[in-house]
Amino acid sequence: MKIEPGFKLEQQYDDNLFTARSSSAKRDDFVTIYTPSLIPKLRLGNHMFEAGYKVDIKRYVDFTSENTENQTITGMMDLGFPRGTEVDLRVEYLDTDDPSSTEQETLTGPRTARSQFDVDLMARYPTGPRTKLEIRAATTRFRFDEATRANLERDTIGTGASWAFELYTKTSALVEYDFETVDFLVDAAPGGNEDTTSHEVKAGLRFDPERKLVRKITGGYQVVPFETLESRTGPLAEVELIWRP
Amino acid sequence: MKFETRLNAAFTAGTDRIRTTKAELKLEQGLLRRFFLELEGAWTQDDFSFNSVAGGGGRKDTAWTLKGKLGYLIGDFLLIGGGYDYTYRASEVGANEYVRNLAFLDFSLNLRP
Repeated sequence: MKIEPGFKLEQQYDDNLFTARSSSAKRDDFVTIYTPSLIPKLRLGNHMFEAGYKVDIKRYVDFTSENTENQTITGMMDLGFPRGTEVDLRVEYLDTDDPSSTEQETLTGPRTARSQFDVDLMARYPTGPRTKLEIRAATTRFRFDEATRANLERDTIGTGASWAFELYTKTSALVEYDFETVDFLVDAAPGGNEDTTSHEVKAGLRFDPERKLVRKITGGYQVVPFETLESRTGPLAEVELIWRP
Repeated sequence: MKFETRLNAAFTAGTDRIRTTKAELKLEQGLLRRFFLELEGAWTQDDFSFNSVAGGGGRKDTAWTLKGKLGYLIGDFLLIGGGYDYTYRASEVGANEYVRNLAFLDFSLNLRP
């Protein structure tokens, strides 16, 4: 077993802590972030196990009431079996004050006290000399500390599968299907229930060169029928390029 | 530690309950063995038009973010870096607009036995 300790020290200057619109309302401050971390790793034959813990200790010079600690706990298990079968498990728990995305920041503000628990399971199995099947399942639990955010608390459960057919060396055609249910804990006023069961179908190409360009290009269609709101449907596109000159 | 050049471009649409369209470009570039450069630019549009619960009122928000970082490796385990993040968010509902500048300096120590 290997244990990798780490420590990061970051000094920030933020000129708009609370994302105010006008210059006169802006509040600035210096923030010091101490991040100790610990990652134990264990390899047993073709199997790999890893755990991790880190905490971001944020300390503000003027706005000391904003001082906070963000914790991340992770677990990972990569199992390798004969004939190219692989099973991967990822678990992550966040206890944080950061919004998860710009869209969430718009709803909740730059400080968003919340917890998030993710579990991802993926299995890959070669179904033939040129074909491979990937099956995945995931669940996420979103919770917010402030009661005023209760309408955003939700559980998601998803599952999906990808089937890849090798056209040429390191070039595969892909067909993907994903299914997800979103269950909001508090159903909003009549007409506002956003619980959904969504379906996505995508097709595309994946390139896996050992060097140089391109990884994945997919396109498809999404159907998200809300229980009471108007359904959302539309095209999807995803392009991921990695270039190593 | 070895630095490599990575250019990552992604375009996604239709995520989550607010329809988000995002285009981003990231570059990680090793320089002169011990320096590294990270550049990132992203354009994000959040469309609230179908969403009543989020309080969007049928608006679209558009955000631009630019990030840059220059780092230097000291010995085998210590990284020192500094950079700058810029965010501009425009909103059809004015109250959600803002500009944010963030400058940072960091030291990272990673011990790998």
